[in-house]
Amino acid sequence: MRQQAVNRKFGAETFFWPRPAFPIGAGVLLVGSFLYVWLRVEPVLEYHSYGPYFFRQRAFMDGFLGRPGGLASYAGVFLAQLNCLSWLGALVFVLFECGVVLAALVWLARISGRAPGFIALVPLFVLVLLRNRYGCPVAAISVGFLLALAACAAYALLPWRRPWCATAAGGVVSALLFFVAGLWSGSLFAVLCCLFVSIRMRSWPAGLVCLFLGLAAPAAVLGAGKLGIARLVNPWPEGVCWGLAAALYASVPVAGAVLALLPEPGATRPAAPRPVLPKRAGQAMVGLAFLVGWAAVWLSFDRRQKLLAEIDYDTGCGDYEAVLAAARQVRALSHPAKVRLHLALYHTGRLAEDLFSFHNMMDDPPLEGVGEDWRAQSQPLFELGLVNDAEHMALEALEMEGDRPDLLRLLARINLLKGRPEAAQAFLNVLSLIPFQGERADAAWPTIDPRMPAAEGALLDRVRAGALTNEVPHDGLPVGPLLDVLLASNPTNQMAFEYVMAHYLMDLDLKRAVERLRLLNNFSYAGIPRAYEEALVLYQQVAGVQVKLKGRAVRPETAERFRQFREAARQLKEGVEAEGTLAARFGDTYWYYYFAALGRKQADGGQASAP
Amino acid sequence: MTTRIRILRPRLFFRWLPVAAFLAGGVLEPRAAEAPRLFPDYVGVTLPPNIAPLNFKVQEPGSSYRVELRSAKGPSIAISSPNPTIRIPPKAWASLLRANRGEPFYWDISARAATSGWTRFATVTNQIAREEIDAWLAYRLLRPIFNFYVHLGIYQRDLESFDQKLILENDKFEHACLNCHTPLNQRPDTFAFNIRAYSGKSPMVLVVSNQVARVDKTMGYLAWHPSGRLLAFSANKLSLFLHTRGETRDLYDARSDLGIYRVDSNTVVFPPAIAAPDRNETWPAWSPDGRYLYFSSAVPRPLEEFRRIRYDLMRAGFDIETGQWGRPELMISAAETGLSACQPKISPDGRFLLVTLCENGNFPIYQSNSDLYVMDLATRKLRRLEINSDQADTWHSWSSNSRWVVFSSKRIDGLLARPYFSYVDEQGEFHKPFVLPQEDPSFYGFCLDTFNVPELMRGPVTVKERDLARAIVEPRKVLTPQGPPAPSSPGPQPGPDPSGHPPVRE
Repeated sequence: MRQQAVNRKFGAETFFWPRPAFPIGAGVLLVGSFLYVWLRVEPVLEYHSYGPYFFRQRAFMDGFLGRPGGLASYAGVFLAQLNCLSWLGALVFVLFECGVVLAALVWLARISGRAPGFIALVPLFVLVLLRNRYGCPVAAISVGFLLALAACAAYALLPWRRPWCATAAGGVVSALLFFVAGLWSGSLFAVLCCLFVSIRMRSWPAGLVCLFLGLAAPAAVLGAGKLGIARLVNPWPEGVCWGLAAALYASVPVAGAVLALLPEPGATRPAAPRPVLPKRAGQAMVGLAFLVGWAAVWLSFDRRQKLLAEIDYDTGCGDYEAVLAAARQVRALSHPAKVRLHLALYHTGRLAEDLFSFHNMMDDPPLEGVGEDWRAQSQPLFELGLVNDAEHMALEALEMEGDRPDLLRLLARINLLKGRPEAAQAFLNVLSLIPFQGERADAAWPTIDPRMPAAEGALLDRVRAGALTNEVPHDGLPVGPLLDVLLASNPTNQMAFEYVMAHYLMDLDLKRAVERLRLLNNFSYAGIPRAYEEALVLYQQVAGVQVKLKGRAVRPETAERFRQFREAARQLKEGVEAEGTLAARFGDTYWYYYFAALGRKQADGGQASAP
Repeated sequence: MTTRIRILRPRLFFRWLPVAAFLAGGVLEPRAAEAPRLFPDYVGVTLPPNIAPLNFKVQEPGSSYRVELRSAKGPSIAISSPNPTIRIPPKAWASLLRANRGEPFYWDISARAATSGWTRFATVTNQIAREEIDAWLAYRLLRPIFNFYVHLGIYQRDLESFDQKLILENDKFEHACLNCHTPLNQRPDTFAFNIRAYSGKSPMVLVVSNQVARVDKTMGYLAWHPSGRLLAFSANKLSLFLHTRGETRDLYDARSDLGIYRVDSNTVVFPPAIAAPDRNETWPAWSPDGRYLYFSSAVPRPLEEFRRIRYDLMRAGFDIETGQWGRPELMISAAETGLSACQPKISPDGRFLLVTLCENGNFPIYQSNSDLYVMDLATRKLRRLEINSDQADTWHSWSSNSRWVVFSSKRIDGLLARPYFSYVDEQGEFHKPFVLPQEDPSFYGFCLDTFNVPELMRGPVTVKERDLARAIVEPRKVLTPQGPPAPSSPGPQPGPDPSGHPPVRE
């Protein structure tokens, strides 16, 4: 057999060709990626809303070790913890990119015998596209991808003389990669080996055997019945974009094949590897590719998803002004975001005033995740004093979403209020297993350390003081009746009052809402809060009755605005005025919400409560 | 930081103990009058001679700890540890226990404080029973869930070691619910359990002599006739409801009857004696001779009157050869006790009836007032057991030799149920229970799973998980029982769930 000369010298010029465009372009891409991920994607938002969370516990690791690809997923989950600081998460991502580009450069140069140049940057764009998506296990995918590329680069650097030796070694490594990083990683390595042996060592049979060996381990695992085909194909947690993952894994072999199939460089060996394309055409194409790539990255970013994650994160941090600011930018709020918006409005003292100034409250997008919905509801229920219902929601969410720091903390608080400090400690103990979550099991507050942090103590005292002490057996979550009982047991619970009012107003139950206005004097409102005032005016008009509130009256400007609204509504009915105009003039009023929601309800075939 | 372990010959140990103590900081250790606080609470308990090491944590301040475990025969075990976690070497532990059946078991524990040196606590005296416990425990692990379930499974634990093995997890069949695993006479090769899928189908999986079949019939709580020829089951209409005080969850059973599934003929019947139209019957349990079926029975009431729903405990005679039923006989009157009787279990020797009594309803694990009671079947005398706690104590089962019971108790934290074992002596006294030992004594402080339906078994379940899963999703053998529907519950009835999931989802 003719021994192939597969070892050529190549050095810095291989990596940095063409100079200075490639190093500058690569540098710009890497720095741009870092800034983009840090400032636009903001990994901390993803960390808070989607996790995943790592637990320093043997049982957690065991869940990964028992299946092919588990180790890479485990490493990916660990690395995802660094997203708790946006810049750190971005840095980890860029380090992955650096590893990927270096390994791709080496392998592409080895297989093609020329400087790959900008083609080696293609996987980076795909990685950024993956990074754009919250909830995508990009760290786990990157670990497997990088492992396969690094193994291939090392493999290509070895001084192989016999193709069949290279094939045998490739088979062993691809099997190892399969167990460590899963089917995709093992297969990528097998494909790259196949290309290397077939093209550089010019042994197609050996190359095909490489491919065959790469599939042997997965086939064996499938045959043994230890793993289903679905789990084999998808070793990652949920949230993967299959198209992009496939593009990422295909990018390097396709680039290698293209480069290798291009005409060979001239007979005389060049001093440095030649670029793939003629200089000017190449520069133009590269520039265009950069623009298209970044445009794709920028445009494919789901801004609504980010804003919803921001609402979630800011609610968790108690930054309610930021919640309101983010909520104003979302076109259609999800149900959990609405729940958080209510909480933010309450905490900023604007629930009774500004609830209906958020137009996006009316949209009713399909439920995106019941777990998140329950998680969102559990916090206001707890603060309201409906502790058992908060526990219900939090435990449902814990089952659906897994152990999350915010739920574990909330459940610890709930159990403290319910007189179960040991159960509270168990939740805190689990919390202490998550890196960067602060609390240590033995130093946590419920039982071991009686000096509870002041803020925690104040929160618990406040909730305890307003908590429902009556027994009300119920099914599901009958919000109105529960809040009524809560308010009856503690008439000065302002949060319960504002929530019950918001509930009946949003439910278009004007009669019940107006009935509860008699409780206004229990609180220190100046006059009648705007939303209630608008509802009162509307009720008086619709029901034809006059409601007198002791010491409080509807402001003349409200009555006048209502008259204008009625006039505009009449014109809309007659086709004189466009609906958009009505929304622009009165979209922040309860009247607009009422009639829009009523129309939607009637269109859906539902029954609106008669005022 | 490691724990140093020495196994000392008794004479050698006592000869060198003062020297060791002197070297450790004092010629004589001051003695504390009280026993040390341990977690889990392994003070004054009776152990089976075949139990895994009771690793524990000393809940007393100290910078290092010494423990000596000793009994009448064999070498004692000396452990020194720089932290309060005491892990006992399994081999030495097993030897010591097996050599000392029926003997007291002494634990000498010392802690060293930074200023005052070593303090030796009062000796902890436990007892090693003569009789072994069935070596395997099956249980379901799940979170304290309400309506939805993602991860749950049935597992088995070797009580002689710390090995936990999987029987079946629900990720093999679309995360459906699985519950009510019920072995025949503590046999690991014959058992049944229910599946409740989101699709609404709720079959039973039947394993007879390791042969797996799916039975397309919704069944609730199960009870094997000792002959293995038939299963008593309940057909319930359950729904979850919530409280705003105390335990959040509660379960309401609108209608229920008992039926009999004949395994040999694949037929179902609802005999009037155990399926009366004016009563709700549930929680079946056979006497070990198979001549009586015990069950809970109550007058149906609407949900609004849930506090008045209290179950009597009844039994009905049965002749398996003729299929004839006797008239139901009142065993425990709810009117007399003011409590509701659930989950009857008769000891395999037929002497004792162990039952849970709670304030109302039929789902005691959700009520902190649930307590275990025992009835001597010879005298019909009922008494509350001393082993109860101020939290729920229920889900009990017997070992095959009638000397041990296991039950679920929420006594540690009030939220999560843990399996506890209690020794029952020849006089029928129940000894102080101890929690299932774990390799890491902090285990229960970090475990958010609840141990549900602990059932003792004489050996491990050997049917493979994939065979059980296949029986659910693509069964080789499907049995569709013939017979009438439950008389007082028209149409197919959703299966109950020991964790209290309602049959309908939101």
